[in-house]
Amino acid sequence: MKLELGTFEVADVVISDKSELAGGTLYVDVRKIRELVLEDSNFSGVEVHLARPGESTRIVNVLDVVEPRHKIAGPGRVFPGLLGPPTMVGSGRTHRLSGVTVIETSESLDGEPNFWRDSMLDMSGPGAEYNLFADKLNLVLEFEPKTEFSDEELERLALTNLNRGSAWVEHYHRSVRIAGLKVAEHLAECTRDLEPDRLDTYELGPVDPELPRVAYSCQVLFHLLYGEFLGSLPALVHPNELMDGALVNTHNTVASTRDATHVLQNHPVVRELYDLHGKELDFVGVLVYQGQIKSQDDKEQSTDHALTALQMMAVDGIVMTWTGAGNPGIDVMLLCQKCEQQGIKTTIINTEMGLTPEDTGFVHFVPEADAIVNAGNYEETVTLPAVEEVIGGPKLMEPDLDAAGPLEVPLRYLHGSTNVMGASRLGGVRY
Amino acid sequence: MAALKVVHYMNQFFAGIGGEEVADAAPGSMQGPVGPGIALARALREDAEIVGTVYCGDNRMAEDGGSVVDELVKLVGEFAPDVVIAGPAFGSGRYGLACGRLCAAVQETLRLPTVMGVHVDSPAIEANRGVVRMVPTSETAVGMADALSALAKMAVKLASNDHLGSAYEEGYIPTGRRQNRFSDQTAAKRATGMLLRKLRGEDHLTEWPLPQYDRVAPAPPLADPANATIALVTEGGIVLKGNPSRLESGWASKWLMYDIGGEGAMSSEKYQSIHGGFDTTAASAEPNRMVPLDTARDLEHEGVIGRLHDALLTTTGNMGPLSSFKQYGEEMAAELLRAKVDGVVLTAT
Repeated sequence: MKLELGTFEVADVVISDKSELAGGTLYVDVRKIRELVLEDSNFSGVEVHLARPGESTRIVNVLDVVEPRHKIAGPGRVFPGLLGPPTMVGSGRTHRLSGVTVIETSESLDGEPNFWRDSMLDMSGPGAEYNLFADKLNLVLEFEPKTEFSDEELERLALTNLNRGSAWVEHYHRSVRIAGLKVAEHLAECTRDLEPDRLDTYELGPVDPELPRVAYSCQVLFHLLYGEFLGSLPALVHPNELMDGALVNTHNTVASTRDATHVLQNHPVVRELYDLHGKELDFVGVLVYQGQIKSQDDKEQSTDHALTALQMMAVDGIVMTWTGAGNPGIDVMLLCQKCEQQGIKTTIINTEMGLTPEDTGFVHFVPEADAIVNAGNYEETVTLPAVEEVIGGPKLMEPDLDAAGPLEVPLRYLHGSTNVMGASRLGGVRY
Repeated sequence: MAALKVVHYMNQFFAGIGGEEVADAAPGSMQGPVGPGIALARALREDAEIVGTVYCGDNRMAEDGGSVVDELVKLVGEFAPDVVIAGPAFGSGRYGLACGRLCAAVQETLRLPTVMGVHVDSPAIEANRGVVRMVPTSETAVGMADALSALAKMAVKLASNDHLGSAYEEGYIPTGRRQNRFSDQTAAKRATGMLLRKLRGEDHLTEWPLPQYDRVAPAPPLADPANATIALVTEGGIVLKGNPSRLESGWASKWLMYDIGGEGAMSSEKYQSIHGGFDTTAASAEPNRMVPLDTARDLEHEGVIGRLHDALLTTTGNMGPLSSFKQYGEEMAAELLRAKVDGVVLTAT
């Protein structure tokens, strides 16, 4: 599988009445964006904002961040299964706009679980240090849900599952994700006939058989692979598939541990392993497996299958990531233990959840977990100054505060700050 | 800068008073350095001077109700030092604990910095973690020179109010406090590098050593269940319907108590689960499977258990710091003891 990834550096974004990339400036046709979003009748409207590096701007109610990409040659569309049929992607040619993102925001709906919903990005000040997109030109979409429902739809408003929200909430959030992906695909389309600033070729060619065989073990929770949730069986994926958006996260867990689609498209672990492929190691692939949150039996089954797949791939070592939250952390530790007992070496990227020094920061651990990278403690408090502009809504939900600040909040409110996929430089130090 | 003044604490053996036969030696002091203190003074170089040595027998300290340590603090204070160095105690349990007690008392009473040297397996580590600054030493006195050098370096640093870096950078025993700090590499790069080091069999240095949890020994079985009072307790987020007490779905700030004295079973009309960590549909439809009140009542009527306690204790076990849940657990246990409950069915999610 060979993918050519063409990068276009974008230095400026201008709201316009045409879609064009010229001289490093991306012209964005806002009418066209509204039209794309409103194809879906779940929306009553959408506001388009621009948040630039260094501005005194806070974006709240952040749901996802996407990098504009468009498939120029080869099978499928970007974000397969969500924007088109679930065609195998990862080969041919894809163009990406570097330095620009699409950010989806929407206020909480009735019937939506809110205790981990607050999610913000500061474009300047201390909050910007934690913001993976603070140096980007961010096109922020503020979605408005429809408010009129048919009788049949009204039934879907009932709240039966406090963990996921009402059926309408889930349905609406899927619409938000798809709309953001559509806009991202559209923005990069204007590069179709242009020559990229840089062209990188991604292919896992044969290497010295003496090199250690290394896989990336990617735990998912409410992620869609080709538009579908995984069950108890793992999926073996070529890293190029991720670059074309085969994996998209749809769930709004603790904001600091949310893995933005942007991070999955530019996956930091995939990038590291690709860089070292043929030099220090043999990158054999990505094993995606589902964190099981219902029972211990499910956890055992899912990690057994993951182990078998890794053994059949004859790997020597794996880098493991975790989706955040305590329950799926148990699965990570189980898989770590099973791998180590079979001679497969592991490292785990883990986010701390401890509020006080005597708190270990773990829900569960095994003695085999002797190589852990600390991606930061999300309970540590950050102090954020007042900002001039707020995008995405007027308030924080818990506690009920003016989003313009000043704010003193735990790091977990800052989107992607303790990044579970390893994208952040944040770490933890012991005193 | 004038040399810093140091008081050195040792046990009776290292202070040259005698061995185990004088382990009940009373507190005492001497001018200047003694025994290992002479090498310690060399390690301190011109930065600091040992003005006095204070000692006590290990048994005397171990059996002390408070007056011995008070006397030692007074002896330390007479030298008007800038910092106190204790030990090194190596792997000796009694000596290590004595050093810890003295250091903690000096810090509290004299407001002076202290440092002690101890082996990582010593009981003094957990007794003093986060309270007394400790540097690791070998298990026996064979590592005396390294221990004295580490103590000297740390003492000067503490007495000069120098910025103290992380445990890894400075070499002291971690206090348990952790703090976020930006690295120059992403977590992904650090993890990949760590894996390669591990694959090569090199020292790979985890960033997060595994913690030690409290192990709670299970209580012995009830001797006479037919005469026992049994309580129902859950962390399953069971609340009165509508959640009037506003128990949180995660990061619970409290626990609640409901009177179930007159109830034969948990009614879905009256109770629901507001837990945020799982799909609560089934728990709210049939709350008896979260709190087995129906079965417990049957057992009560059949005489298998003596009596079911009138109160249900509930909270939400989802996210939240260990310290909060430890506190709720202790408060719940105290309440259950007060109510003379003999056993608990604790349903966890």
